[in-house]
Amino acid sequence: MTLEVDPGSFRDPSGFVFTKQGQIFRQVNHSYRDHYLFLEEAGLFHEFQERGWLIKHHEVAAEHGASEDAWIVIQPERLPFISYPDEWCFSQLKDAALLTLDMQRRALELGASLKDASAFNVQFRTQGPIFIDSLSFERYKEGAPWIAYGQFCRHFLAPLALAADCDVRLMRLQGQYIDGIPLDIASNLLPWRTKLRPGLAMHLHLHANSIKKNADSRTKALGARTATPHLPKKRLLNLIDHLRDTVSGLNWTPGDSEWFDYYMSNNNYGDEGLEEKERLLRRFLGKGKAQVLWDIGGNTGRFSRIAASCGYEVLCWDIDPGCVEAAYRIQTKESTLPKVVPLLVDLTQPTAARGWQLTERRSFIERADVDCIMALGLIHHLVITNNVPLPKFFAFLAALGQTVIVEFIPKSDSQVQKLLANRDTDPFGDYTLEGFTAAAEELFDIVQQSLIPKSERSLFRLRRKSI
Amino acid sequence: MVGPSITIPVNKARRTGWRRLMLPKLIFTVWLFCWSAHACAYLDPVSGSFLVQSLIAIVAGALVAIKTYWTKLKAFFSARGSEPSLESKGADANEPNDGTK
Repeated sequence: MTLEVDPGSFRDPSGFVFTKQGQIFRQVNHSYRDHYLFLEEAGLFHEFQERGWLIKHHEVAAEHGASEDAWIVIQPERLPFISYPDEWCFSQLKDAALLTLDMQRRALELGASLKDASAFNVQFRTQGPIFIDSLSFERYKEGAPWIAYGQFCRHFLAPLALAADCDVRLMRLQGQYIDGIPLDIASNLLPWRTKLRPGLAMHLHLHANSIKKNADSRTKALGARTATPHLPKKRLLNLIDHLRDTVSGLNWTPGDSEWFDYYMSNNNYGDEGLEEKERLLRRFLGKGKAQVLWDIGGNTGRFSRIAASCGYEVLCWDIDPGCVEAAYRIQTKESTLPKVVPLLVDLTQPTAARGWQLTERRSFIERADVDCIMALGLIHHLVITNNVPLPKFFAFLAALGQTVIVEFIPKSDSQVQKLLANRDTDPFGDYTLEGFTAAAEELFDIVQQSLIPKSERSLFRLRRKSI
Repeated sequence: MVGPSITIPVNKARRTGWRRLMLPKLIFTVWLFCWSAHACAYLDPVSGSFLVQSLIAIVAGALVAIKTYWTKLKAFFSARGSEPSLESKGADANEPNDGTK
């Protein structure tokens, strides 16, 4: 019986996540017993699960626990994929923030409170954000301040404010700071005008100042350091409401995103050509049967949604925050569209392993090994723009998935012409259809191949060779 | 060259007084932690975040109250503005014509 404790689940003494025989469980320790029973009796678990806020779980026998501390073991609903906050677009992080605050507010009304407010507690499914850590709640003690307020501001408010008022790319700082962007850094980076807005002035700038002033508690008297200020519940609710208004008021809209207009102008298909490509793609995809598909370089998700309509569970990855934002907003706005989960990644430097012993948060490649990888309109950006040799390109694809659907874009294509325009010489001698197929056949079998009608591009379906 | 060794006399009375104070301090510290608000919480309670919450909560409360009353005030005047004037000669198309005018 293979049992593995999740290396990222160790900080909370209330319990931890482990995997047993390929299934995920959460051990609830004896120390959390009273809180758990209180929350059950208050109806918090039931209400939040019915609302779609909190992941559903059922209890299993304590004998299935991973240690002697186990009181009970719960099994949460399966999540298709674990993503991290620096892989989310602006609106995804904002929705996760609002979910966290809505839960905290309602929890307070029920006599409970969140003891942590990490963005890692939220995950994204096609239906939107969901809170996954059932043990994050504890019984609320009247008069106690919110212990997770600082963490919430670092994980949510700081990156959202930086995106809204500075530069959206600063959200990637979340990858550098695993416990949220320090408020003093955010305060220093944000423009002066943000100090004139009550929300950011208080929850970010004043907050940062207070943390800085009280940082060194060693010189303070013992009594002052351990005393907890009294904060009546009504005032705490006011703080939560105002914080929610502040987060709600932060907005970012993609400006002149270079990839956003990719299919709007200068594309190499024409509308009819695009339809032909879609028809061909559907043939290559076949029936997904709930297989997992990653569309890498998926832009605004057009072809990802085709894969979803074929039955695949789809993640649509792109480098451009504007495209991921558009992909997320499109399906939030139009509920009839097939659903995917859009996420952000730079394939030339994908998400690295992070945290304690570099095992707490897994890398992009460690979370892969999916059923199908789709790489449309991508190869020339990696091989031509980023000088990735063809063999390395295919080695990367082989590390990600069993089946690959890849589009070859020849040098005669106008998009490749643009990329080569500023070069005096062409160092990409092997970037031809023959060179492409030769490199592919080192690691893959070519299952299907076809020229895309009304274009010079070709579509391939590859199957990874067994080692 | 080795200098003369110096023996520092031990102040037995002072050492005993120091030990006498340690135990009450220890008990006091343990008592304070027993009354800690979050027995199951594990996050480091950053003092700055705790201390600033009270101030922010008071100001936030005032702002939320102002916003609530301002919304009600706007709604009140919007409703008053849409009521038909008694001097008006034409009937409002949306108003039911009950023949009392």
